[in-house]
Amino acid sequence: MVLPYTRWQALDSTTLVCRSWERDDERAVFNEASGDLHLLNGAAVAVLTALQATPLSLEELAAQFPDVETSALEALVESLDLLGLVQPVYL
Amino acid sequence: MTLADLSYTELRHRLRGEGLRARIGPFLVRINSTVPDVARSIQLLYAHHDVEQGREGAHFTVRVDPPSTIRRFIRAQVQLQLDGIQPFIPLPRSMAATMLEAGLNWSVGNLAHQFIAIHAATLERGGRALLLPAPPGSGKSTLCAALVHRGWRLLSDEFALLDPATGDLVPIPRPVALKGPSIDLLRAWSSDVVLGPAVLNNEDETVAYMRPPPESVRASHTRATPGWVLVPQFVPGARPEVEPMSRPRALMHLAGNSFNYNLHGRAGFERLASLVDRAPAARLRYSALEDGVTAVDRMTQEPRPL
Repeated sequence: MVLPYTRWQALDSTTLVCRSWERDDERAVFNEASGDLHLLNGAAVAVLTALQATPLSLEELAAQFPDVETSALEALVESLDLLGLVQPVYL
Repeated sequence: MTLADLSYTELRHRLRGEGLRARIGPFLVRINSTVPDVARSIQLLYAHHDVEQGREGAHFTVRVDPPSTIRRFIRAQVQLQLDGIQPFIPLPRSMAATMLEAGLNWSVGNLAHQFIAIHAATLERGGRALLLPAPPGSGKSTLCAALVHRGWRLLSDEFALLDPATGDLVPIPRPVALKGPSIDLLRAWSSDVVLGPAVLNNEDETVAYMRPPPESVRASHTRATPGWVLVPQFVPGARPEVEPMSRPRALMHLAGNSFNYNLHGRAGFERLASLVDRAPAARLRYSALEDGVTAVDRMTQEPRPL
């Protein structure tokens, strides 16, 4: 359960190294801080990129992705948190 | 001087005394053992490897000897020591050669961090390397051994050693471990196949080692450029099937089979990513060995995008 008053921030682009290839929707994301490598789909990459630009609450994130259900966004943020790619910023 | 130039008496003398120092790929390895099975196995399987005179210096020291406790009187056993570390429990003496190979694998996988090490059979043809990264039981070693007798040079059956500075693959040709039915399959595959004795391992599987061909050992200093990544999967009764793999998935697979890419930090990641940039990847499902070899030939003969 993501607390409604929490904003989320992704690790910055110097810590997360992304590699993408033409014709491949998925991307490899290397977390230099942990040494872990992740395979992210297009939706996860889009959310991660948005959270790298600025910390956002779920509500603000939903406004940026109006075509995605809030519950799906919440699950995605929780997954990114589990992978150690985003962190909460308490207001 | 190669190991074949040493008499059996001289080989045993070195193994019992100051140690046999053998060049195995980029490593100088000191081997000590009082166990005759180890000497006989080395004499057969490492015949073409270079040996060094003297006693000074080695990247790893591998010692296979009976345990020092009372256990040696209860049951004939051997104990592995690597630079003083004992990573495995004692095993029956009949498995002495297997233990030596396990010790070399352990040393490279845990200590050779000057390279990015991936668990993969690696072969070369025309300057380009074919990587077969796969877990045990996938048919990797059987396919590797068969390809070695169809014009491919053996770089390694266990490790793709990637030079982090250049991205080249560094050869470390060693005996290829064959299990169960693969032993007879390879015996029938080519009259050039040289196999050591078949012994039972601690999982009750029959294991025999295939000697690396002399040409592969002599070319130990000749590196190769990554050419292809093929993930083999032996499926009994399956028709041969090659399924292309996306580059992100190939990268994940290589990283998952790597012992240490993340110890190299961003450079290790970039090096693996650059490998999949250059080397198209696919999965191969096969049952008959001939089909597997044909599929490899077909994949590696296709025109490559620039």
